[in-house]
Amino acid sequence: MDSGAAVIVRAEQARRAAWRPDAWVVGALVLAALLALLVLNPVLRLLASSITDAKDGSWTLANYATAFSRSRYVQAFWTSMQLGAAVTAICVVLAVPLAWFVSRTDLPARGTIRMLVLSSFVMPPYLGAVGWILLAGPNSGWLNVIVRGATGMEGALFDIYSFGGLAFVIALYTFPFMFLFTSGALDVVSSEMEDAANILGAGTLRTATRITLPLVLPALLAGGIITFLETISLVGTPALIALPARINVITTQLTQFFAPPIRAEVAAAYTMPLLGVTVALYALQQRLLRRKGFVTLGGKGGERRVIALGPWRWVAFGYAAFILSLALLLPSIVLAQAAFAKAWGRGFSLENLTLSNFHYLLFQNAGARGSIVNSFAYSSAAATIALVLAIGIAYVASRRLVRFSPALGILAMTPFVIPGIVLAIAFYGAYAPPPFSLYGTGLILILAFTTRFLPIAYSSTGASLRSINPEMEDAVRILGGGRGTAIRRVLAPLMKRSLVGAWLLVFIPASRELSTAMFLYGPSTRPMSIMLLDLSEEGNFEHLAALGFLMLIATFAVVALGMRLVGRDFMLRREQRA
Amino acid sequence: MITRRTALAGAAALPATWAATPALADVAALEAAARKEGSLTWYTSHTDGEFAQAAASAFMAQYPGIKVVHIRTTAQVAYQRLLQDLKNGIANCDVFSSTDLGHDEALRIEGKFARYMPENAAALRPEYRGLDPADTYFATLSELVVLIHNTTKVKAADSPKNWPDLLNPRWRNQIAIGHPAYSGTVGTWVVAMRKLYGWSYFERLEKNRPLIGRSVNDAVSTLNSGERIVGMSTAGISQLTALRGNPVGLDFPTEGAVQIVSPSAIMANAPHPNAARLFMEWLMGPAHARLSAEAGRRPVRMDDAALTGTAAGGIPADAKVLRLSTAEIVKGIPEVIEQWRDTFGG
Repeated sequence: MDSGAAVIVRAEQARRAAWRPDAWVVGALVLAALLALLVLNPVLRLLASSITDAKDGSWTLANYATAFSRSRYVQAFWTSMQLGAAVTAICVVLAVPLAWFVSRTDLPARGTIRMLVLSSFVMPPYLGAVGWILLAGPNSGWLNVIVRGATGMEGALFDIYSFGGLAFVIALYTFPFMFLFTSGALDVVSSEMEDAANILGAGTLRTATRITLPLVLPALLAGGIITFLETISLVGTPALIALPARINVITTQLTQFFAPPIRAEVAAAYTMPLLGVTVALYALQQRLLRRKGFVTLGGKGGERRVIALGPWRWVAFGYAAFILSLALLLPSIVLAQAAFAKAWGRGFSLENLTLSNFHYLLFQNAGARGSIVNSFAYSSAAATIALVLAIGIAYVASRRLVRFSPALGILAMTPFVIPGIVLAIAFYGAYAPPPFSLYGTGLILILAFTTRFLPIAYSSTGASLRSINPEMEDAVRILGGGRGTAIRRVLAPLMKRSLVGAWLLVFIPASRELSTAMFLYGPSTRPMSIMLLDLSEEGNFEHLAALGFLMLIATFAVVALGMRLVGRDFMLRREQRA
Repeated sequence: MITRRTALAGAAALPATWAATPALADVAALEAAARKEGSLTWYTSHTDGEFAQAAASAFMAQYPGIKVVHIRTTAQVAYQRLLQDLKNGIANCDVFSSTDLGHDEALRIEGKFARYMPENAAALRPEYRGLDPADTYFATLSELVVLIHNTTKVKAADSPKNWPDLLNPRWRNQIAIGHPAYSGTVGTWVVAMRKLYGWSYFERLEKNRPLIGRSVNDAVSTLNSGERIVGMSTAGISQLTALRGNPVGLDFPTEGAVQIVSPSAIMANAPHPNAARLFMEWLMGPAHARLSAEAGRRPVRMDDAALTGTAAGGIPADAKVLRLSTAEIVKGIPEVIEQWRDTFGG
């Protein structure tokens, strides 16, 4: 055979080979199907259930009528909106100056402060709430006792059981979102504009408020929206504080719809406006950003200089220390006291010291021990599944292997904007009953956690994939290796560190997730968060604090391990782009 | 309340139930069958978590090899979980112990309970017999709801002595109570108060801004911490807490402590029916009665007479007791939950 014919034959073979269904298209379709199961199906089932008559299965709007039939139900919805707005406002006050100090100024110990702010993420909001009940209970809260002792005043300076108290405590554990978004954006704003303002005579404060902050408006809005959505879907803090304070919010109202007779379809109808609120918030964000240009945020170009605050740096330091003591230090102290106390109200004394709370939880209460095991098993399974899915989707999306790859990316990010409690009800409707019959199994919790935190896994793996030039994989393929080889031998080693980081970023919030676990756990699948809620019913803060203490120690051990493996800044990669 | 119809149904059911009841000699056989099943799941809201744990442990000590998985929550939460199980076709719970008789009535009518006449039912005190004419659920515990106060902050002479004393403005921001939408005990108490004083009792109580927990035990914890100084709870948990050296005192209200009769039943779909029966026998047997009495609870068995008063303080012989009928509770609790939410807003 002459060489010309051989070339033609080979070209023909190559053409045919190209027509063979690519294994990656099949893979992408599998991914799409999985995403449909995890994200699309529950949400569509939720929508369907909200317009279905539970008795005869016909279409109806009666569920919506029932869901908003009483002024109490409407009031709860409205209260949650106000709460969301109040918490977002407090978070702006707490987080934005702090982010500016940490990112742009010569604030002392800013590395440590950044780390401590992120550690607030490790403290579950409901545990912080327990701490704050001990601190600011109107009669016996430590802060009130101290104030009364020091000033001789009567009554209570702080009342945790109030709307303000509720908003304050929630804000203390959601402001890290705002901080992350803002500091992430401030980190890449170059100093040129600020220099221009300075040259034109503006001082540091004026420059910061008129130039720098408006430049990071997109990040501020994104952080604000996430703060708002997180706030309205919290379950634990309202159960601990809103209920005794006699404030009804969306999540307490939803649990009422799940009280006998269970009206999951009314709950579904009640949550639909929440998705509407989400859409409205993002529309508002688009409107606010549309007429403005933010091109300076585009690249990492430009020079960034640290702004010298002079003596003011110590004021800034005081502000940071103040916020961190409120969020971490004070609650940790009182939680530790209660965890080791016979009765927390008796104060700090040797005779009040005991290990019996831990003994009870670890050796007597089988439920508590089981819940610790459950939490760790489910959250590591969820982290692993989320990571595998995220890598697949990110790879398909970043290398544009199939036409519908952008849709995959959007689906993977969708759970980010679905409040956890809505996801829980959607999963309950889609997978609890037959044919799936997953209610009470560990699997339904694992899948719900996977879905809830898939956006975190996807955005962090996606970012690191995009930073790797496809040329290296192409080199492998030119040398005869398949895509699989390229991924195994080139990408995986390059991404190892960031994959471990992404795994931890899913594991940590999953291990303490409460909203998503509501309605999905069974008697043998209670995670720690539900166990804590069950213990809290009796108001036994000693046991509660001890379980929380165990939870924090376990999580910090995992974080420490993560820092050893991937460096202490792994939490910083979270969501900086969103 | 026994109507003609239920009486007839009960009479008709009796021979069949008795036929299915194992004779005395069969307890050994029951134990062997239970051991084969190896475990049982117990949803309970009868007591606080610690006591539930102690009861489970005592059973396991008596019958090694049969594990009790117990889930202690408030009654409404336990009921909600049970209904969710049933709705999704899950058989999880073997023995169900509520403090809201309405749950037992509803489940019995729906045919969700197994019929089993425990041998120990014969030892029940007369006033606890025939709780369910159809013999599916039986009284396994009784409690009294009383007034409590923090002894370091309230002098014995000043403590509320009767229910309306809680309405005194001096207790504004100082009262701790539970929530009827969670606790069956609190629900029953609210129905009793409504019967005695009308709903205006709670409208006036609301003016005193009580701290509303969930479980009836919550009030004791709140009192113990000093966050509130007067309130209501069960005599059992209050006396037990006091016995441990905590500053909790109690008063039996002059117009009557509210009696809670808490039933237990075996689920029709119980995955471990024999273990469930054995556990039911145990709940109604002398060991559980002794344990309950030691923790300040009212005995439901005749042979516990001697045990009355073993707990700290005991129950005064002349204490007035209010007991509602099953019908009053069944009808009342759902009503007062709605009224409560309208008045207290949460």
